[in-house]
Amino acid sequence: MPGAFLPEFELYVMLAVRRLGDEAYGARVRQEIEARTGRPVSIGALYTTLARLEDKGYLKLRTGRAEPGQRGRTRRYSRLTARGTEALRHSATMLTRMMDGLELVAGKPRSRG
Amino acid sequence: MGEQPSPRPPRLALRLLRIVLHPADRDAALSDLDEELEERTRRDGAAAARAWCRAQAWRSVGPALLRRLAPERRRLAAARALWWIWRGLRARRTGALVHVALVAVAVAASAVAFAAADAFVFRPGPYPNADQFVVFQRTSPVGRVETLSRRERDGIEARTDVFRAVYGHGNLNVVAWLSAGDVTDSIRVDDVAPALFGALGVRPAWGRPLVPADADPGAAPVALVGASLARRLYGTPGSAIGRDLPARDDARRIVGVMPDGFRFPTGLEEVWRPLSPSSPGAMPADGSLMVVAELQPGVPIEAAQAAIDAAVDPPRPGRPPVFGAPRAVRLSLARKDSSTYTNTGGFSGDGSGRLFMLLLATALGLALVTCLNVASLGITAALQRSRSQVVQAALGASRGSLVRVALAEGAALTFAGAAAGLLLARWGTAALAAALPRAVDSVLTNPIDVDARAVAFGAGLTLAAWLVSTVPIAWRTGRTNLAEALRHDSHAVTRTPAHARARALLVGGQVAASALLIAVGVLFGRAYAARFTDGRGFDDRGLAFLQVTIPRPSALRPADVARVLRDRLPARPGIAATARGPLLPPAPRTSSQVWLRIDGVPEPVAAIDAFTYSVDPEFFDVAGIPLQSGRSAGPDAADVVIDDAMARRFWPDGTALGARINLGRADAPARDWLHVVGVAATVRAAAGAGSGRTGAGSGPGRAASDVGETGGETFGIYRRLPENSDALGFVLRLRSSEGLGEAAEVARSVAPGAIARTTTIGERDRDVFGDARIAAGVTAAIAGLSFVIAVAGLYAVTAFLTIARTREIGIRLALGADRRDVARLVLGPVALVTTAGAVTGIAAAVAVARWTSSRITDVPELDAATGVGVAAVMIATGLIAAAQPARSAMRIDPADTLRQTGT
Repeated sequence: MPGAFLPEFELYVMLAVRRLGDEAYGARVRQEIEARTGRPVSIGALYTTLARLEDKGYLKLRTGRAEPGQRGRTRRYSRLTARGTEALRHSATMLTRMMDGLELVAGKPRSRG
Repeated sequence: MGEQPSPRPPRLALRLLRIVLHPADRDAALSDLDEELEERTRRDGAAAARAWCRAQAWRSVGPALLRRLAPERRRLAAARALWWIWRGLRARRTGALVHVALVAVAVAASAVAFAAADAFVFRPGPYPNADQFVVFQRTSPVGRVETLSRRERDGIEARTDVFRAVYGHGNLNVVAWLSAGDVTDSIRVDDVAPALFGALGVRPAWGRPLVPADADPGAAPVALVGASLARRLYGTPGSAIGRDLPARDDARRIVGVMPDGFRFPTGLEEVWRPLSPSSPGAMPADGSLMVVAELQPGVPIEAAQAAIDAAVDPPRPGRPPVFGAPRAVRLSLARKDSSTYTNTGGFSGDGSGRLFMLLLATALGLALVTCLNVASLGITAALQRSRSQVVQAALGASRGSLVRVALAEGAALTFAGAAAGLLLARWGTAALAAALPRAVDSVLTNPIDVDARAVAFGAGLTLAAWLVSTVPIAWRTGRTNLAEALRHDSHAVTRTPAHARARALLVGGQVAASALLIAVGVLFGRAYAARFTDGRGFDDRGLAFLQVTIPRPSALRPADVARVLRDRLPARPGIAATARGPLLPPAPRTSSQVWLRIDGVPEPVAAIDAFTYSVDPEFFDVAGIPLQSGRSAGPDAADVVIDDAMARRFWPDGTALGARINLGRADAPARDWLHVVGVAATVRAAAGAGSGRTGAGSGPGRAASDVGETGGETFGIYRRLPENSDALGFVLRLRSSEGLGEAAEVARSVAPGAIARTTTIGERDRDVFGDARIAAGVTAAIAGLSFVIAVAGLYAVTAFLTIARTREIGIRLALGADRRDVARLVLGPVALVTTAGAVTGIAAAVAVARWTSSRITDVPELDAATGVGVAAVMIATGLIAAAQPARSAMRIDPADTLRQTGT
């Protein structure tokens, strides 16, 4: 059965969430993507994508209680669902397969000038 | 550890973000911004951090707006889905249109029939709290009444453990004379306890309700009026408030206008006055006062019955009671029984409940035919779709998505059909309401209107039929192997013998159901027509009636008016003759019970039901009632003319002429003995009176007054109207239709300010036979529709199967089959299915007709000729419908067919 293919930005967001684990909330996810891809990410774009991924059932969003040191700030944490993990694995596998033997991957992310 | 004060984000950026961000994200996103701003201020300095903040805000506008507009996008997606459904429907244009039309018919038929049945049978009165109220019905010699004696009313009022409150209303026969311009009209008035409407949960739509103070002896006289009366008098209901009711003898200020559709106790009353005094117990022992009692919460109807049983008047020794024992009936049920108000019109109430139940059953029959046809269409559509769906399934479409297409298409078609059906139903109910004679309409407590539940029911039924027929095929198609499907003919893969059998069953079912409906329609039509053709006992050609009413007080003497009218009316060119006498045909329930004694026979012979009329001597000539022997009643007050049925019943040897009879009470003969001077032809009353199987005799309400000895027959007895009688009801024999207008004109000129109502024989028939007319009309229409639908279905199925078998037929022809064999191949199954369906339908019709004729007066049982005739018509029409496909099958060129479908 054909699996789900994630569009590029959604793939980035999912990967960032996966990487950040328990610390995957808006600001961190945004910074993670920017740091790794060099692609500027607006808060609006990030939240729109998070909402879409939640609609698709790939992410579970949870609003965390403000803890000491957060200055009363609200954080919205994301976590991959089983379906999300499966979709991520599928997309990543397909991408790897497509790139297999092409030696396109450069070592470092391109930094933004 | 002390916290540094957080840097503030630029105000404009913050405001912008607040505006564009989705409310669900706003707090978290602004917290993120805050957090990063703090980090960046530490790292890059305040200015850079603020610049970053501004850039963030601007770049967020687009994506955030997209998120906020997501529901719009979903709507767009829905529109796109609709577009695909539309494309699918366009591909099978005719099938889709037929489907919509079928759903519309099913919806409209069930809605219209339900509206009629609902108004007549099901629905409680239009009062929210109707179930909490009871009325007390008892039988009287002429039907059902709701009056209680003073003692009984007191007994009810004392039972505060059962009844929360007891309200009186009544004086149903009170009429107000309203004059607007030079036209005077009579309006029916009901006096009601001021608190009654409020307790029933009804308030005036304009103005205020009645209050107890309105009934005080010194209070200013006020009234509530109906919305339609307010419109007639003042243009708009609202402008009636504060105006004086233009009543001749009872000027009252209008304080409230009841909403449209409000009817209490029937549709006739249009003015409600405060009943004074408002307590029924305090009212004089007036026979026309009725009681509505509100039950205490949770008290069952049986307790109300026990209370009235305990309060009922003890029978007087030696005299049979005139009224039966009162029965406690919920207001919601009581008002459905139109026979309660016998004085409100000529409508035959008793059979109407069953009649309209049958009507509903007929409509359900039509809905069944429609559903079978929809199912048949569904199978065709699903099979047509299956080829492309096999490919879709092979390309990865899930079974769910294939089923979804079927569901969506069915839903779209049903929705369109239901919308069209709703329009049809509105038109149909309006037509039905317009066709309803006032006498019938007025006794309904509910107006006839479209009920949303009936529409939903019709639509749901057809949708279910569609789903049952299409979803299994779509499901099965999803499992089909593409390679196998392409190797073979895809139709062969998805079409199984089970489908062919299912379609044959569906067609057979349609034929059976419509044969049944047609047979029932024929019976109803015949029953209705028989009322006009089977010797009515009078000549109805050009017959009309004039009723003149002189409002009181008036200087005119009715007897003088009558004398002048008898002279002047026949002088007009349009009027051939006139005489005073009753409206014909007689309405049921207007008869009364009398005890017949015959001179020379010691004991009363029998209690008989009789229409006792007072008529002018010329009445028999004018009405065209043949005098079979003797003469018309002469000036002698003792002269009497009886009808043929009575003469034959009591003087079988033909010696009625010259007999002396007495029509008195059970315990005492009348003062005067009458002398039979003539025998007139029997005038058939409505609802088959005289047939020995009258509606009156079979109804439960008549049990107490039913007299077994006369077999439920109602006789006609005619006495001479005294010369100085006040009677102002005339029978007219018209030369031309202008005579009707001339009669009214003469009446108004002779008696200015009087009300002159003319009634043609057609109008009279509609009043008296209203229920049967509607039943015959609606069943005929439903039967006709079902016939057309069944035949169209038969044609569609035959054509489809013929096309599907083109290759087979081609091969048969190539192998040397005769063209006649081909015709037999196509027509054979059609003949088989139609015959089986028609026979089943007729068998069912025999059972239905037997059941009906035993319960509803005048509907005959199904005779062999009708049964065979209907079956023959169905079979013949079926074959005709299949003839065109058969012809095209015979023209198939085997070589062409094999080349085109080549395997």
